[in-house]
Amino acid sequence: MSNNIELNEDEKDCLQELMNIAYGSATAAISEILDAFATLNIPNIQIIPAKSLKTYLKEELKLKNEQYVSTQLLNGSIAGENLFLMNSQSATNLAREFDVPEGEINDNELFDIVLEITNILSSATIGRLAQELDTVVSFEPPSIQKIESVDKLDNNLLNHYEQIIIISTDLSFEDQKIHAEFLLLTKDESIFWLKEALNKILDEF
Amino acid sequence: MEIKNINGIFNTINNGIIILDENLNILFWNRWLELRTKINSEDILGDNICKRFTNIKQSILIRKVKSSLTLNTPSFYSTTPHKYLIDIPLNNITNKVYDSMQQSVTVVPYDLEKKQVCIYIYDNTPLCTTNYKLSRALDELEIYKNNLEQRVGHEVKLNQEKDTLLSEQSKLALMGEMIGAIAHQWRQPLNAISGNIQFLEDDFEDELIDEEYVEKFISKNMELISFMSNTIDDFRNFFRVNKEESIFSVRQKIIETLNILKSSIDSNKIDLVLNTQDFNVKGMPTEFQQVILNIVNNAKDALVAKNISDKRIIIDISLSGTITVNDNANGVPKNILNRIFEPYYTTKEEGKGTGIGLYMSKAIIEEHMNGKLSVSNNSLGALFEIKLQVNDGV
Repeated sequence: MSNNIELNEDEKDCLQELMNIAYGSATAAISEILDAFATLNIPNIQIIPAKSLKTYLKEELKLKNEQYVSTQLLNGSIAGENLFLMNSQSATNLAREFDVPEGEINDNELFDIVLEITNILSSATIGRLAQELDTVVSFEPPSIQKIESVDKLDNNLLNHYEQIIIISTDLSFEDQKIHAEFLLLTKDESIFWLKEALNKILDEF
Repeated sequence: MEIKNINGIFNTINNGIIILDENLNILFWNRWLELRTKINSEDILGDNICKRFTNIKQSILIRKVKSSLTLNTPSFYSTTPHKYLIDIPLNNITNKVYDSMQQSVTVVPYDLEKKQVCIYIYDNTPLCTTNYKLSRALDELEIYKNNLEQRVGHEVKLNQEKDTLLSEQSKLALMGEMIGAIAHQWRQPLNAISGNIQFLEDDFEDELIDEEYVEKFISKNMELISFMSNTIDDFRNFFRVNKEESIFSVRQKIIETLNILKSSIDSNKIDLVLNTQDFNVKGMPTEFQQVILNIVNNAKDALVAKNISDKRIIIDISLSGTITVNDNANGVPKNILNRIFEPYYTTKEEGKGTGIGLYMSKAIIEEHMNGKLSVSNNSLGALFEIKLQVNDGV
């Protein structure tokens, strides 16, 4: 079953296009909600095996410092989990963008802000992607934790997934640079569903 | 299917439900909230929720409402940072961790055109209580682990101190035996020097002293003094505190040890045989000598105590790295064979044995030299076997 689980080049291109559209709407939504001019760079999409996630995070992204990690379960045709990672500096920059007074920036505030941005990004991107693919996705409440290093990421959660779709995100405001990693961990059946949906779109063109 | 009486459903559901407009004014307040806050619906409708509940941060709630309406998707308050939206005191008396209900809150679009949202409040207290208890248990476990580590560290230190003390005691006991051996070794040359000096006066009176006599006298006595000095050197080398490891010849060190014991072996008429093979090992030479001295001394004591007529100690070195010390004192009694390496265990009469020697010997061979020291009986008597790692570096 897992022989054909990877997306081919056409399918990847199609997914990239759909994510570009989704990111366009996410940029507009973030600007409106935060009342600040935001830019979301066109995402770079990669698909990697779940077991190499930690190596990817450590070696490719050099995520060595403290990270805020929020997770959110997805239900529907695209079932799985969103994983959103942001380092302390980016989270603090984001808090400034949210107009949190400097003296009030603490873990609780940062937790809330990272949760908020996770929710906005996942709704704007996955929600929009689902819309483009003519399906519906529902989101569970996200949860958040702070981890000292990528090694502390709970291994158990990765055993449930075969492939991970990685969407690297650079969020820029006029005066604040914020970088985050937004990962979509999907189960095998969702990847099959996604392949099918992407192929339907490809057939139309 | 058209759902009738939606208010009825909202009022019977086991969650809090609030409908707000975009200015955060309350449009609906369900029965669940009435019962828990003791605020009736008619007393709160139309009020701004942030004015009625001053703990709610208006900017955050506005942002959640805006997210929800802009993206047409739920936005969430999580219990992790917020604990609760509406302060609902908890009534339970036992097993209470929180004073107020811990809540998980979801803001969903209710009417996009009228810009109204619906807020669902879930009681998250049981989960939070379990998490709190789990976290406390983990903290306790961490403290217990740290205490345990400290205790283990303390016990290890005590053990190390005990081993150091035993090692010192063992050296002191050996020193006592060595002083006995030196006294024995010095007796004969001392008697000879004493005799030579006594004869000096008579020879002077008999006018026998000339230049040749003086030269002979000096040479004869210097030889005796040199022998005594060598004995002292052997003794001093043995007790020199030298913790440096080196590669040495086991045969050479066995010979040096037997030199120290020579007079006591000879006076007890023990036939000591050492073969001619040899190998090198890495370790502290004086520690190795201490082991040989302990084993040979024990063999000598057993031969003397049992009054064996044809006393023999055979030391055999094999190239494969084994040294055996075999006596013919009829062996170690079976019931104590497995106890002789225990600390303070001795079969010698009081004042003659400390019970430390063989314990230290085993520790030196097995812990310091990575070898093996064992004992068994053969047809002659006790057979001590030392297995060491041959070092071909030299």
